[in-house]
Amino acid sequence: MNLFTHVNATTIAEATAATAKAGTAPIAGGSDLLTYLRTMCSPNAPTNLVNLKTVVPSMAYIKEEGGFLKVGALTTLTAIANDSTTLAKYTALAQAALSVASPELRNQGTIGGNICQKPRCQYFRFDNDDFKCLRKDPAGTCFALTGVNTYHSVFGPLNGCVAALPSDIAPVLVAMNANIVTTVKTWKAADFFVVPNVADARREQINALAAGEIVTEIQIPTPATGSKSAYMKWSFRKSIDFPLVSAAVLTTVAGGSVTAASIVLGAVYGQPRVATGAQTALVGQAINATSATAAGTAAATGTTVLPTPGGTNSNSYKVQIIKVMVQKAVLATA
Amino acid sequence: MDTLNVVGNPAIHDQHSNLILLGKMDYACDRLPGRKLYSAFKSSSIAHGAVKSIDPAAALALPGVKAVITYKDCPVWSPNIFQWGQEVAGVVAIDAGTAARAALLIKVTYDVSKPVIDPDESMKPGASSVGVIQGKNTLIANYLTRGGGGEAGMAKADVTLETVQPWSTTYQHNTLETHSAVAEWAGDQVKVWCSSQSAFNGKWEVAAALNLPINHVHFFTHGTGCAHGDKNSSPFAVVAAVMSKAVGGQAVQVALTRRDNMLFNTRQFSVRSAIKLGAKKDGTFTGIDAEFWGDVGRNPMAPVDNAHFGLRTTYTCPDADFKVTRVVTNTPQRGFWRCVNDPPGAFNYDIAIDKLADKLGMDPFALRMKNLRAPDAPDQDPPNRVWGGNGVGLCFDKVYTSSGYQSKWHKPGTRVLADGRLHGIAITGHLDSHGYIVGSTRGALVTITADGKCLVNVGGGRGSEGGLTSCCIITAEALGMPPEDVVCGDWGNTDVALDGGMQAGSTFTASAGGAFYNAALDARAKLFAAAVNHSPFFSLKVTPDQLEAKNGFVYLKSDPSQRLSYKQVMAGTPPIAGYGTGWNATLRSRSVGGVAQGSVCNANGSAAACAELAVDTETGQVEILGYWNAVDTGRTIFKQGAIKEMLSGCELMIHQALFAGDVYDIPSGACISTQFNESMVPTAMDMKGERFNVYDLESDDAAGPYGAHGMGEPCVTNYSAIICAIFNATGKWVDPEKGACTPNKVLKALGKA
Amino acid sequence: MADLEEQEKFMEKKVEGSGLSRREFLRNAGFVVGGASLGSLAFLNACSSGSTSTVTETKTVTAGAGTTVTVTAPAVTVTGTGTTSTAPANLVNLNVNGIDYWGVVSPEWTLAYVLREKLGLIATKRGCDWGDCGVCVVLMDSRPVMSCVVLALEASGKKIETLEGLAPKIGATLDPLQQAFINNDAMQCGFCTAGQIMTAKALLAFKPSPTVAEIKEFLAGTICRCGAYMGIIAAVKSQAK
Repeated sequence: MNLFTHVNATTIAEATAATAKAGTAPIAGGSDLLTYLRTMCSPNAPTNLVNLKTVVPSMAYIKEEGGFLKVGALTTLTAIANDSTTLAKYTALAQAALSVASPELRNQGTIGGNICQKPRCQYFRFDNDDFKCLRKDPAGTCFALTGVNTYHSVFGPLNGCVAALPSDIAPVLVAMNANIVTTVKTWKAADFFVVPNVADARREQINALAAGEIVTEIQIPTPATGSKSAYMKWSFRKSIDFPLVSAAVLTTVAGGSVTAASIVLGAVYGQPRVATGAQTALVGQAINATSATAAGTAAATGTTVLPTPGGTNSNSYKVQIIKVMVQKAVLATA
Repeated sequence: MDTLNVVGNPAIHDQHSNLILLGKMDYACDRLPGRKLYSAFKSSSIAHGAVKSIDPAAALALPGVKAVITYKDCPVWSPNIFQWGQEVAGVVAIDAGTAARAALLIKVTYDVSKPVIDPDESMKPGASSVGVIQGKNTLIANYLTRGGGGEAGMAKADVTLETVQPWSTTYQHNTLETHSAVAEWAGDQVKVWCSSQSAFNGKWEVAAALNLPINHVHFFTHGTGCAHGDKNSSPFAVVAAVMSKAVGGQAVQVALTRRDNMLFNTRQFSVRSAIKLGAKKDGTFTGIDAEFWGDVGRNPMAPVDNAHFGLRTTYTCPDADFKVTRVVTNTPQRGFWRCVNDPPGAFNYDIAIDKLADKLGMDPFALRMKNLRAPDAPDQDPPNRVWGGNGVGLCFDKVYTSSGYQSKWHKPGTRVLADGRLHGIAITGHLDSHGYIVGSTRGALVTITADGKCLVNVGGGRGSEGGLTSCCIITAEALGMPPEDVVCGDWGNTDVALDGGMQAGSTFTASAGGAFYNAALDARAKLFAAAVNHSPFFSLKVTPDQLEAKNGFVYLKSDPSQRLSYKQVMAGTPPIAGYGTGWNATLRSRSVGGVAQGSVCNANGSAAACAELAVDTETGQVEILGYWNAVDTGRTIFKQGAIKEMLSGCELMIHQALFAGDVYDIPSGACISTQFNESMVPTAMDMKGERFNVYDLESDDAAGPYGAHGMGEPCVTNYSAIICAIFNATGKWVDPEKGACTPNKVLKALGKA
Repeated sequence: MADLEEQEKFMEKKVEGSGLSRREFLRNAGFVVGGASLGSLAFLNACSSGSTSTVTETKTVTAGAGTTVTVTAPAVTVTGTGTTSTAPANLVNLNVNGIDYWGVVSPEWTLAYVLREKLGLIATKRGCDWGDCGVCVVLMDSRPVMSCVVLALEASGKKIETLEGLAPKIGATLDPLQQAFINNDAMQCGFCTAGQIMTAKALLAFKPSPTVAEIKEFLAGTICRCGAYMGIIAAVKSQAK
């Protein structure tokens, strides 16, 4: 484990002041941060942790208020998955929360932490920083681009890195047009998951948070009448795994046909990927096998499969899986 | 068969369940809490070359660091690097984190050579040297010709099949407990607690490496956190002993990190083959020309030599060539892992047999039955041994009938289920190269205590499957004692037990169990001799051969009412009468119908499996609809243990066929699937255990105690049934690409990826 | 083990494999228990190396039956890439199986590490140290967590339950769930058993009549490498109300 100091913040102001200092990071559930520190995989590891769980008033809550579902950043994934309002009206969010890792990690992991996790790539995460990858050091290289990249992006590199978005929650927030409230501002989800350039000190982030900026609340607009949402996740195993392909879909149906559709892919690119072609294909159609298949096909266009040594373990399967996951997620909103 | 009271009794559970459930089973790292130091390794960041320099100064300067050892101090380490992640130095410190941080500060420079990671590259003429064998990268392991050889057999064939099988999966089992050891010195003697399957192997290893008298090494292994052969060797016991010596004898713990455990330890072979099969139109084999190559990693001595064993011994064929070649690469060592060569070998030849069946337009099961070696037929190759009898046929029959194969099989790619998925089914089976009585001596010690009960001390460790309980059962049966009166005292303790060999693996019940059988007979004979000198038998002038024992009583065969309890016998005897020792050298010879057939024979295990599955052609996902696993146990000793073992066999075969596979970064040679979530260990959710059907079949043909075979390895070997069933479903063969048939590869076979 | 008498017995018993009574063991590790026989301690080895003592903090805490203990602990300085910082002393109060333990930890010590190496509670195992395998599962405020990814500092003040707490007093019968594991042969090597039992215990408390599918889902984080899932699932199912 990397060494660090640890303080319990008692107010969000205190936490903000503390995390603004160089080498300081907030800790929520800690399930991602501590594994990152334990493997000593990065030279950029923080040396001071500020515990957010001790902040008063608590940032763990779920409430419907003012046309939004408001979820405190420290709400555990278990709490979200078990919340009946979330499941009924913000279904995709509950499904995404339930799909993360194992029950134990969902008891620890928070929604805020899930959207602030570090990149997921075997090279980035390899113990002891044995692979000097681009996300850790701008002078490094992307090993996955020509090496093992079975789990990686099929929409090309993002700032030179082909790691795929590991968050289950992120595509749902984009699909549902969520606000991400921080100590600094309120972000639109689509603007939040912008991966900083590797030259930026924030290069290890999967979002654009500034130093010292802490996520405090997630706000999801209550979907319009006739709306339904769904999250579909695919991985090799039935549980525990990070997504290899995921699809978050929100559709609004009036008079038998789709009036608005939001289709966002996870785990296929460095950030949530809005499948605009699929959205266009679905709007105006009734939700059925034909329209769902057309949406799936549209979502899987424009892909770039990564080269692999000897052609083995290629990531080309993701293209096919995108079709199927989008199709299934669309049908689930019927 | 004899009437048995304890052997095979389903009411008997694992002797150590209580200890485990109370959290009191001690694994190596549980020893000496509070008074030990901790350690971490510096391992190589190159796959091939040599250490040029090591500078530990910065590590030693870190507060809390007690010592740094390098390859110069540790006899099991070397400056010559043959794989990525090879240990070159280690740090001892006050806590594990400090040791790990210090290890990062050790500066190592290397002379770098070109690594050879891909076995195909290694085999090419003019390939760079891997460095572990002088001047070459391959070793001929096991070549033999039968009759006129494969070519002559092909000449007699109506139909021939020629196929090159791609490399099968290679993977580390990822035991939950990483390799661990705790060592401390007292003067010139060392105590080592180690997560080893074989206490005595560990003892010899430590003594030899440190040049110590054997009786100065005290080796203990209690709990072993899953092993399956991976923990036979105990190099980390040696490392712990060296580290402890470096800090003046204070206890030091070695507990590998998940990464180091995955990088360094033994994994399953990857095997490829070029197989030619020749057959008559009716399917009768006329010739086999089968060549196998095993990627043995950096260990040229790895035992892949019997990859062809099942093909050679399960089926009849007059003319054949069988070849196995070891190919070295700069990757971690292959070797003992839940069977050695049989699973990857069977994976290769079973695919070839199914391909031939397809070419002949036959049901592959019918093709197998057509060529099955007759029960009791001697082996076709010198020394023409008599194998265990008809076990493999029994197993094939059982899975065939119980799965309903006859009504379920169809031509490849022709059955669609109601939900649109494709249905597939296949059966494979084999006589295993394991399960026999190994040559080395196993010893056993039983003590009948003054209260008429029995204590057994087993020399092996405690692996997974309850071999210790088996030894107790055998002892109870042979002594005629109720099972609850026979308890395992200490085990895996080289100070109080005789060498019990390696616990786990296929041989423990048959070999160590055989020693306990003989030890119990020894004790029984002594007690019978004592009993005849003891009232009331004395007055009857009986001789020991007129006595029998059952349920804790010694009685007169002719009048069972004339009896004494063991406690009564013990009350009238000197304590020495209560001891028995035994070795496994004088086991029962093979019997047919209870009649001994000459000298002790090999009694290999055998097994067959049927896999029924559904393939989703949209996602490539395979769902197991049913799995039937039949294993010839010879005689089932520990019924619950055997059932558990076969069920776990189902799980492990599914794991190996559908999930497992190391991933290597080719340029560096690093295994980068070092964590659980990258090696795709199946979870409870991935198993459809309710669809598993297991059968322990008794074949009365064996040389072990009461006729027992080893069964652990046969029961995990038939994972080829799954890839054959995927072919039956889709009509396409999946290229496992040195890994499992994961959905991406199924999609690739289907042309969708 | 809530009552003081029982706790005293527990403290006088030898810690398996250490040769020390639990009280002596804890004292060496820099921990004391609340309740009885408290004293002032110097935490000689409380802070991991790589840190330097710069500040000393003294805290007086009330523990157990109104007794007080004075804890003196050094502060921790960490030198990292370009930054040096000092944090206050890291005093923790871990309530494990009903006993209050007080001590000072290094910030990077995990709950799993402290339970095993500092409190001598070895039923909780170490497998992957990264939240992946489940052999270190304990209950924290009644919920199962991977104790290898919980900082000991952040477990302070929480109610921790380990397999040792489930284990009955001497002479008592096993907990029904433990007995069910025996009846169903729900283990092979036993290394995952503590994690399986603690997780299943939480499931049965939270959902007394789980289906097989729910059991599998809840146990998905606790891996078994011997292949005993069928027995484990059957054992848990047998305890469904």
